[in-house]
Amino acid sequence: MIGISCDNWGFYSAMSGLVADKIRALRVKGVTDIVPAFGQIAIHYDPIQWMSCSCETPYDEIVGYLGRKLSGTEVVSDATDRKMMRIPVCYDQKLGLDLVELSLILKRSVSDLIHLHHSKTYTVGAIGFAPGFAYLEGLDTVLAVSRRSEPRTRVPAGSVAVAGGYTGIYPSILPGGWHILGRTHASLFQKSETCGALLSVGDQVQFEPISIEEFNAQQSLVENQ
Amino acid sequence: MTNKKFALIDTLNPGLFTTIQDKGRVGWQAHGVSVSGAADLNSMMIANLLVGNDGNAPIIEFVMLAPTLTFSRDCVIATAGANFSFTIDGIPLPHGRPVKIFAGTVLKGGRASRGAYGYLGISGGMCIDIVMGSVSTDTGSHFGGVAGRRLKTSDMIFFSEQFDSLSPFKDVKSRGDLPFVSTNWGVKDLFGVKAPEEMLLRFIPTKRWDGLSNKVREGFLSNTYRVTNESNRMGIRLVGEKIELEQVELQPSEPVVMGTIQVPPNGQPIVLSVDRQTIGGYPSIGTVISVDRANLVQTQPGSSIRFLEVSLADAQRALIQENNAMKDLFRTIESRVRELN
Repeated sequence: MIGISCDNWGFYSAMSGLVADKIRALRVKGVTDIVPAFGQIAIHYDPIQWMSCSCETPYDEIVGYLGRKLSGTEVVSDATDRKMMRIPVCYDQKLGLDLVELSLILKRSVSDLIHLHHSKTYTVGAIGFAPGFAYLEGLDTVLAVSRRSEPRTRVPAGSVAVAGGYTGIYPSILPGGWHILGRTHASLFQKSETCGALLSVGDQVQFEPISIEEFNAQQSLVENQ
Repeated sequence: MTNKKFALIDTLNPGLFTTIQDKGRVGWQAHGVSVSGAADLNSMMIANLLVGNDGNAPIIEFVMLAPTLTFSRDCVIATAGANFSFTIDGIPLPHGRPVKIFAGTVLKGGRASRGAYGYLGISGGMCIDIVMGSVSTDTGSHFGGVAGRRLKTSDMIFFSEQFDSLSPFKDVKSRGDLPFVSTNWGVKDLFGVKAPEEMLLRFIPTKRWDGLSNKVREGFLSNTYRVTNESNRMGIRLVGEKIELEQVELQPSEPVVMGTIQVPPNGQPIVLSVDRQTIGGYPSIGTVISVDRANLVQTQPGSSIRFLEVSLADAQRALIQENNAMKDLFRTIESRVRELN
């Protein structure tokens, strides 16, 4: 694995997604996975395909090759580069299981918390923990709480939650210790050759609040498909 | 043509943790999908090649306690990796050899006296749905293999349609005195040959390792670590000399690989294995080198591990050497198997 730290290049976290795309587009032989996460990029590769007659190691060979290919490459981030995803979320207390508890801990009203959560635009910093689980950066500091002292063994799929300064969406039923504020029907991950994760590192995300009636109506749509 | 309805393998007893695997789900880590795959890749390849399959054909992997299976038709099987003392009608099955078995055979699995992961190759392979390029069972995310989980009693696995195309012993129709027919040659276990009592694992240090005090580094290098019972396909959990990392602020997760040595707050290292997640939050002090992968996963709970620091260049030289040796071995197996027809 080759590790690239975008911090050293003066990039901020979200840029790593764009850099990863540039490297992916090079279709470098032997490279199996390119994984951006919080400003770092890991390039997983097969050293056997980079053996050479010179004394250099496969690592030196591929790093040299990437350096030559990427030199002069400009990575500029503007709004048009970055996908904006709008995700409908129902913040009803039946679905936002921790809204009341969190409002007591933070001494803010439930509607304050909901507003603080959906009024921000977030950036995907990393995908991990589970297929399609996106760590979203840009959470209001008021909501930057630590994880629940007692994690749940089964967090409902689609739960929108906060912990450790991030917000995220559980793509499927998973164990988890984040505080749940609401729920979405958005499909965050599909196990097919063409889909995979809905979100990529660097994408921007906005949450659009919907009522419980709208949420239930969407549910019946999903079931009818 | 055998009726497909009856062309299956029936699970009489699933063993401890039996799954379908191949080389793994490569190329999906940016989506948060684990690589998974066979823990001991070389042994998986050998078991497949011994039965005339492509090295990456779907294979049955078992851990610590092997399954008992019954086969509804004649086929060729081979075990590799740890020897789980399989028997047919009470007679030991030769390990690391192609073996022709006959319809109705009950293959009874046992325990491994040495090693942790075993592989059963089946000629022609099995009919398993491919999910994102691989049949590997990812039990954390519930996909691949049989219903995305480990095998349970009465699970049925269909033989692949390609059955018989390359199968060795094609013309052997009768069983003679034994309940199976086998070759008089085979492949030896490749893991842990040199150090069965105390496994030596080589690792490439990370930047964080370079920043540790001499005392902490010496502590890690000079002590042995014991593999605990909590080890699984996610990670090998160790106990021993506590690794004292300086108090660091909570850091964002970073990408990890097979062999990443993580240090959680309790200072007891975890070496990440095949079902690891794609990113990890605990600080990492090094990476166990690819060549030592089999030795890492094949170390039984209770046994000891010692770590040796090597350079990236040394690790890659060792990998190239191993790759050449494996290519030779694979070629030899392929030509010997061809001679069986």
